[in-house]
Amino acid sequence: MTDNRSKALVPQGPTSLSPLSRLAERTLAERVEREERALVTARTLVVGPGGYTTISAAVDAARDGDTVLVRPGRYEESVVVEGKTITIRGDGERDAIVVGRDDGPAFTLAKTRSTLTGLTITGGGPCSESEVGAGLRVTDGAPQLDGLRVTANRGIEFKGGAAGAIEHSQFDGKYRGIYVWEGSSPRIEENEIWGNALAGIYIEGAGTDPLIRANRVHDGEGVGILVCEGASPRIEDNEIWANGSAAISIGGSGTDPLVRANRVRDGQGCGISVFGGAAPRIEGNEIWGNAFIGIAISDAGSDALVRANKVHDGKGPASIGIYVWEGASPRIEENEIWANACTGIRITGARTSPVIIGNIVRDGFDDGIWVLQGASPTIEGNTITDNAREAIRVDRDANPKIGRNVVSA
Amino acid sequence: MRTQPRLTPEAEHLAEQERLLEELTEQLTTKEAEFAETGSAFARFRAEYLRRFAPLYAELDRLEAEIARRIAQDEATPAAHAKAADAATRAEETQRALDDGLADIADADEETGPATPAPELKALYRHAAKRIHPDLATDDAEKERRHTLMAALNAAYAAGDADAIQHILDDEASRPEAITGDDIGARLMRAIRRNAQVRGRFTELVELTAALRSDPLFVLFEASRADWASAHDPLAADEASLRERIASAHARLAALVMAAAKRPTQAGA
Repeated sequence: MTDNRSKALVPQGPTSLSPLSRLAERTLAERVEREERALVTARTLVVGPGGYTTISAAVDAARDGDTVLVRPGRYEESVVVEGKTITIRGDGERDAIVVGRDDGPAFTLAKTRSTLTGLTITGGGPCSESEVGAGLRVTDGAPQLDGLRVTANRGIEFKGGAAGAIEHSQFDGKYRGIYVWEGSSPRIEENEIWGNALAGIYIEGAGTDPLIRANRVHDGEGVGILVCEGASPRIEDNEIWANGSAAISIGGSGTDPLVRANRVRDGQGCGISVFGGAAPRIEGNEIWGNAFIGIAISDAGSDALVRANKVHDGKGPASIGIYVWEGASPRIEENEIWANACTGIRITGARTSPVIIGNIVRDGFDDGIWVLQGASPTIEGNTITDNAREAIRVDRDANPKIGRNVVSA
Repeated sequence: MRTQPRLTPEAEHLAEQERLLEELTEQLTTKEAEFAETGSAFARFRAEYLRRFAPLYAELDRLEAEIARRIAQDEATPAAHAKAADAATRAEETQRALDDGLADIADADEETGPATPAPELKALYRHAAKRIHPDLATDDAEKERRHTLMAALNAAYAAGDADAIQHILDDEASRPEAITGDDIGARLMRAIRRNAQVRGRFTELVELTAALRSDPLFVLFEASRADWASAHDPLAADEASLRERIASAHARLAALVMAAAKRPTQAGA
């Protein structure tokens, strides 16, 4: 280590092991031995004809390392897995292995690293101010949920600082698909979420920082992915289309997710909407064919970085490429914006002072950039060509700083 | 087509370098915050591990050494004596790990702040790190001054002390050197040099993290971190297993003591 700032906090990487590190080495070796012993002694407990009649009974009898194999059938129960680490696996056609009841969650997973796979989860409730009534609740711990079908219910919920993962699963519920809050940070990867009445994925609260990657979120009635109240997930490489509201909506002070390399298309609302002082980094996304604004940023404190996105072919009468208003001051740089039905970039409102630099705005069916209603953006180094109306239109009451742009009408 | 006047190549280069610097600085302060948080969390984990496990290992190794000593006494073979000597050495090392470790963490206790820094504290730290980072200094004296400030900032962050961080920021803002102005050539040189320094610090952070990963205690910490964050005790199974082995060692030692008591003495034979 070459300076004293790191010494204050981080112990040195050892040249030879300290006595305490040697103890840790023993702990790690003993862990491996225990895991190997557990594998040798692991049992399989079957639920269904000839075996346990309920999943709950098998789970209660299971020890760490055991597998509970669930045969096809409808299991109207609320299973609780707490503390132990087991695998619960559907053994047969997933749609024929249905777990759930209408007055409680199908599964509650607490303080567990268990694996759940190959099941259909339905039912849930009850709902209250503090309970979303999810079909599957993860209250803490780090379970692995893989290959589930979550249907006709209020989705699944991670709360109480839960981690773990949900992946390769399908959600078509009546409410939200996946609900993450209270500082939980699961990995949400390669799921398909469609037809939900509210947000497909809902992320809320400070310290709630899941990874949301490579999911397909479509045909919901509400927002595709909603991030709010200080949550800062990483949202990347998802495909989001044909939702009833914004594809990705980000709101609230301290909410600063990374939104990168997503494909957002054909929605009825905005592509990406930022409001209420949120400050995300929005980078490398492609946004097209939406009926409303491509990227909308509003409100004081909404200091997003909007960089290297492609926003094109907005098809509604109000399909502005990027719209900044109500005092927001994002930095908008190196985006390519083309062939939108309305203005390429529009900036309105007093105290609205974004920096717009190095963008290409072309082939639009309206103005390239329009500044109005007292806005004071900095517009520099952009290339604004071949738009149907003015390259840069400035209303009399606006006060932009404009320089070094390459423009043509 | 109307073309705006172009910047000189030097001015364009400067704009590019300054934009790059801004971006790299943002990334570096994020990395520094992560590194500081990891360091702080690792220090807490180390103390926790020491308090819970070193006494148990010390007890286990002391029992195993006593068992080996009694067996060597009974068997009186070279192999048994060698095993007893090894067990005695191990017991001494473990006791030393406990004693030294407890002395080490006594001071650290006062410095550790909350397990998870509040978002406001994190933002304040990042803001301060951007202002005072040593790798943004352009001369050695300023770099040294910033090193001292950065150490104070990291200590304040680890202790969760927002007032101390604000104090560092206020002091910095009131320095006359905070106001700068220069010609384009000097600014360009400064920006290029700063960029190189920031990249250098990135490499250093990667190397520091790699060095930490060669320590089994850090490996155990990383393996436990997700559980720790979710309030699930990641060491519970390890501790339970260790306690079982101590109980087993107690039973074996008691059996040896009983057997020795029952054996006829030389004098009695």
